[in-house]
Formats: sequence, C-alpha cells, structure tokens
Amino acid sequence: MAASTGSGEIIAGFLAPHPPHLVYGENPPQNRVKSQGGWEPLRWAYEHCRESIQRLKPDVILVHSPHWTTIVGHHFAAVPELSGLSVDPIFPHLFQYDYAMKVDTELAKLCYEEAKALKLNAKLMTNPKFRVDYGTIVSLHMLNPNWDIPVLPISANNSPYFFSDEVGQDQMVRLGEATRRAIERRGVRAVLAASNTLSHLHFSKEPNPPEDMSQEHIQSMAQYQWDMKVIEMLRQGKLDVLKAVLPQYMKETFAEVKSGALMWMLSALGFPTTPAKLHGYGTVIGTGNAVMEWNREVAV
Amino acid sequence: MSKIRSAFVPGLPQLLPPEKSEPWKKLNQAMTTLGQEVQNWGPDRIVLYSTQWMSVLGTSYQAQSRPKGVHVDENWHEWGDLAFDFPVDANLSMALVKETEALGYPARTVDYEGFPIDTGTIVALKFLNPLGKIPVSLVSSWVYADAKSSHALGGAARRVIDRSGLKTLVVASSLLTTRYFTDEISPSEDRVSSPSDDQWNQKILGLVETGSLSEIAALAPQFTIEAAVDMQFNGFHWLNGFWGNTQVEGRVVAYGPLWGTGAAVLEIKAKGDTK
Repeated sequence: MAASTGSGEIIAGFLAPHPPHLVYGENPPQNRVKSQGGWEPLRWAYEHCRESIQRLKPDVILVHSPHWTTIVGHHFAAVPELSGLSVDPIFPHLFQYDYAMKVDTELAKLCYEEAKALKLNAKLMTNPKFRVDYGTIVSLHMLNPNWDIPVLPISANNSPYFFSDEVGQDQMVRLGEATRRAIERRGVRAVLAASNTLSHLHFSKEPNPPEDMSQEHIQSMAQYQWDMKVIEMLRQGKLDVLKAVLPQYMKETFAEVKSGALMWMLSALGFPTTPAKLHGYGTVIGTGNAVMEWNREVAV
Repeated sequence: MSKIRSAFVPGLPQLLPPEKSEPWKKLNQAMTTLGQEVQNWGPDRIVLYSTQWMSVLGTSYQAQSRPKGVHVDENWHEWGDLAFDFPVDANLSMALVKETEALGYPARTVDYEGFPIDTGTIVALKFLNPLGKIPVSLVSSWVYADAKSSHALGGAARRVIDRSGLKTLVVASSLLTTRYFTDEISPSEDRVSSPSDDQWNQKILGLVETGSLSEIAALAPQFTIEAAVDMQFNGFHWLNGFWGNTQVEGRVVAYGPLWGTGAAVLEIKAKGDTK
C-alpha cells in the first residue's frame, strides 16, 4: 500500500456492469454454482479490462454499487477485511460466491471526510459482519479475479429515488469530487469501477438453462437504440450532451445509471472529453450492458 | 376457534433499540403485545410476506429448512447484528408455488445456504416468533406485481392454508408510507416526515378499525399517487386478497414514525373471532 503522499491520482475508470450471470458463466472456483458458459462477448470484453489493470498495477479499486443501497448518506466500507458468502437475492441459483477482500480503510476515512466537506451526508461502515452485495463482488471479480488489489466499496445513496434525478445526480457529482480529493490525499494510484448496467428493463422469465444463449436478446428495440446513443456519446466524450439526455434515458429505459455510479465516476475523472473505449456490449436477460474504459495514461 | 389470523407490521431495525425514542418505544411495546397474543393463540405456522424481500422472477417462497445466521442492515449497520434462526415449512412453500403457478403467475422456491434473509422478515419474527419454534413460510414481494396480482397471490395463500388445516398467522411486513428522513435525526424527535402522508395513514387506519378492507382497496390507487406508499401497497393487497370475501375486524395496536416513515401495528381477523 502506498504511503499518504498527497500525490495520488485516478489512473483509469471502468463502466463495469454486474449481472451475476457473468460470474456464473465464467465458473470461477469462488462461485458454488456451475454453468455451461454463456455471455462470452461480455466476459471477453472484461478480459481487456483485466489486462489494463494488470498493466496499470493500481493500489486500490473503488467500486460504487447500486445493490448496496443506503437511505441516510453515502457509505464507505471501513473494515480491513471483509469475507463471507454472498448469495444474490434475485438470482440465487446463479450466484453463491465465497468472497474475501482487503479494504483500504484509510482511503475510506478520507472519502468520508471529503464528502462531509462537500456537505454530503456520509458514514463509515465498520461492522465486520456486513455482507457485501453481489453488485460490488461481480464488478470487482470481473475486473480483478485474483483479488490481490485492495478495494473500497461505496454505497448508492437513494437520493435520486427520494427526491429527483437532478438532486441525485448532483449528489453523485459531489461524491465524485470528494472521491478524487480523497485519492489525491491518500497518495494512491486508483482505478474506479462504476457498477452499472445501461438499459435495465428485463424479462421476468429465464430460459432453462439460464445460459441458453438462443434466448438472449435485448428487451426492446427502443432500449437498444437508447443504449447505442449513450455509448456513442461516451465514445466521443460528449458528456455535456449525455448529461442533458440522461433524465430521459433513465425514464424511458429504467437505466441503472440512475443509481449514480456512472455520474460519480465521470465526475471523479473530471468529466473527460477524451473518448472512452468500448470493450464490448451485450444483453443479460434483456438488459443492455457495456464494458467501457477511460484510461488516463492512454488519454495523455 | 378460528384457524387464521393476520397482522400488518413494520420491519425496521429502529423497533429493536426502543430506548432511543418514545415513538419507537410505543411501537416496540405494541409489537411485543401482539407477539404475546400470538404466542397465547398458538399458531402452527406463520406465513410472512415482506416488502423488503424483493424478487424479479415472479414470487419467491423460502424453502430452506432452517435459515440461521446474522444479518447486518445495509443502512443501519452500526446498530449491530440481527441474529436469526427459525424453521421453515418447505412443503407449505412448495404448495404456495404450485397454487401461484396455477394462477398463471411465475413462482419458485429458494433453498440456498447463505440466502440473505431481509431485515423486514427478521425484525417481524423477533416479535411474532421470538423463540423461533413456529415453522414459517416466507413470501417475497414481486416487483412487477400490481394490486390485482398481489390480491390474487394473497387468495392463493388462503386456499393453500385452508387446505392444510393448519392454524396459521398470516403477516405482511410492510410500512404504510416510506418517506424516510434522509439526514441523521435525533430519534426522540422522530415524526412522520410528511403531514400529507400522515393524514393519509390516519384515513387508512380509520378504515382498518371498521374492517373496511374493500374501502381501503378502493382508495389505494389515490393513496399510492398522493403518498409515498411502501411497494405500491402490495403488502396490504396481498393481505386483502388473503381475506377475500371474509368479513373482518381490525385493530390498530399502534401507529407512529420510524425515521420519518409511517408505521402501523395492525391485527386483522375474522369478525367475531374472540378466541
């Protein structure tokens, strides 16, 4: 772990969707359920992210997950080691994962301080028996299956649902700023993971077996067209255009980015106008998922 | 003696440290009273629907024989560990799946070690099944369900329970309104955060006391538009479907705030059921 030098930086960000199907399809030893594969294009897209992370050798990976939902404030995991069995409450037949992760608790404390300084409600999660959600685990596993880099899980505050999309996104912009300041103070080279699917309307029935790819397709043409528009904006670095259409996109496709991870990451990255790299797009039980990378070293 | 009774109760962790707040203490005492009455009545089974157990692929029914473990609430994790340990009637859950599917709705059992039992279920059972001796069947809140389908799912539960002949307590673990305070508050100053929500809740409670479930159902569309109602009021619709055409009487054991939400402890049973 790097010492606190005050010269930390964010070296990359990833849009890292978390359908448990991706871990299920990969069959890692940590998942107790086994499959015949499936969703390969998305899993292969993640291989590019894994290569980038191995090359970049970050000190820490921060992940913002919509499946750690908090009502009062933005929470940061601050337990040195978290481990246990995480079963997905929605797809328990696909995801029963034995996890163990080291947490950068010093960074958690700095994120907490910086969030408070920006007038955000914030809290440290210090209960060692806390069960880590599947969104956090899937994104982290798909980015770094070796789990040899410390992490920092961040909750998704429910403000977009309690107030409005505008209030929610504003909170995420400030949370991103706070995260960037904390990383700088901590003196670490950090990677960010926005654990979000794009369009999120999905089928309520699944094929048997779930990995029968002959049944896998986008839930609607409108949903696909919206996803392509948004991906193209990200590929062209047109973030002002994206911000303008985001509320409509979220409304019409039930996009999971409403929970804030993408806006948090883009804010922390300073809303880069450099193109994001699309590693792959694919559907999971009808939802649209893009694996994308903002690599600041490449951008420079 | 009647073989069925029901309750509509909150399931938030604020109920467990009642010393922090007078309003929470009042609700805690009401839950304790209701729990003691349940123990005295002595049901064979508890069937519990929780709005905090959300499912996507239809309705899920718990079938793991004895869920046991410690749950930490994802928001109020600093308030400690919620231990749980209770038996499940897997056969009852499987019968509920069959009856649900017979209506054309998707359903499945879940039977997985480590499956995350939700806060709403655990808190409600701490009062209603404190010794963990009564076998339960847990029912998820299907996110795509509406009033009609929730009502139908409640009816399915009634038919299964009637056929079983088991003396059963049916529970909806649900809030009335869910407009939480999103800031830290002083628990002693807790109140229902929205006066409009509070007025609506009072109106609903008045109808509960007259046993007018059909009137509540008729008002529900307006209630869900004008107030922040928990899961589109599907906990009530499920319970209402369970009672169907049976004439009922209701009792408001307590009503109050839990971090800005509107929480009610209600008992609903067949009219004239005094034993």
